[in-house]
Amino acid sequence: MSDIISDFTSVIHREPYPAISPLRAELSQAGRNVLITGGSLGVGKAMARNFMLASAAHVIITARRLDVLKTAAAELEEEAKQAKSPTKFIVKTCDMSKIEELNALWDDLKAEGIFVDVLISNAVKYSKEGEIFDIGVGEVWSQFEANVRGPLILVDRFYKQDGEKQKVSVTVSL
Amino acid sequence: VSIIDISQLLINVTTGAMHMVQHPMVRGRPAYSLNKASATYAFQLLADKVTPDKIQIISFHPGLIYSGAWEAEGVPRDAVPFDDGKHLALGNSKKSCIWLTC
Repeated sequence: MSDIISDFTSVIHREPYPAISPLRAELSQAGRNVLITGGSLGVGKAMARNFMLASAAHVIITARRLDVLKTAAAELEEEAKQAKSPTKFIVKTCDMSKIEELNALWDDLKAEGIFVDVLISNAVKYSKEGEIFDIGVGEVWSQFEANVRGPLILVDRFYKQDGEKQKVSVTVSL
Repeated sequence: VSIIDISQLLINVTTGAMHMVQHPMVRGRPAYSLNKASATYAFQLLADKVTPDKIQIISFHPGLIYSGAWEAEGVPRDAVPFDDGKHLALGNSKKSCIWLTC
């Protein structure tokens, strides 16, 4: 099995390596505002950390639970201090399945004068285990709301922000 | 599997629009490609789980048939090489899709 996999990729990295280091001058995110959904844990939090190390102006992390968000932000702020990074963290609660919460997120950012340069669509509603008709159409559809409609709304609002700056959107698929 | 071994048949009429996103009749309607691909995949996931002796599940693309919907949109009959639907025996519902059920 490992032989088959290595046919496609000669070197497999499992740790950061110099070419993609967030500390590289060419990769500087200075002046950029970055919005990461699902930013309080796991991949989202790790990306928040790396944008901080790359000196982003603001890193906005969203999640459903405010306490988890605050804990993550406190940890990241401490790391920013140690790294002498200028990044300011902003936390916003947002349930990806709720249209009004998604719109409130973007309305708030606009009111605060924050233009999002980089959007990382990372939050997911993970499926319950079970066949489609066992977990039920209602549950299946609620996952569509969080995993399809939510990201569509995110990208719609990202795309339709006021201003002419270049924007970058990244989708994480796990 | 012959017709006598099958208890139920489920036929999903879907669309090539889920793949042919650059086709002149498709590229202006990306939302349709998105939701039909999703629905077709739903049927495929069910087909992967249900054995054909219980339910034979088939999704198929019927061709690009010139119908009243195109006419209503003002698309001319010769805009692209439309199919006429004879292969599905359209207009005679007793014959439509029969070949898929055997």
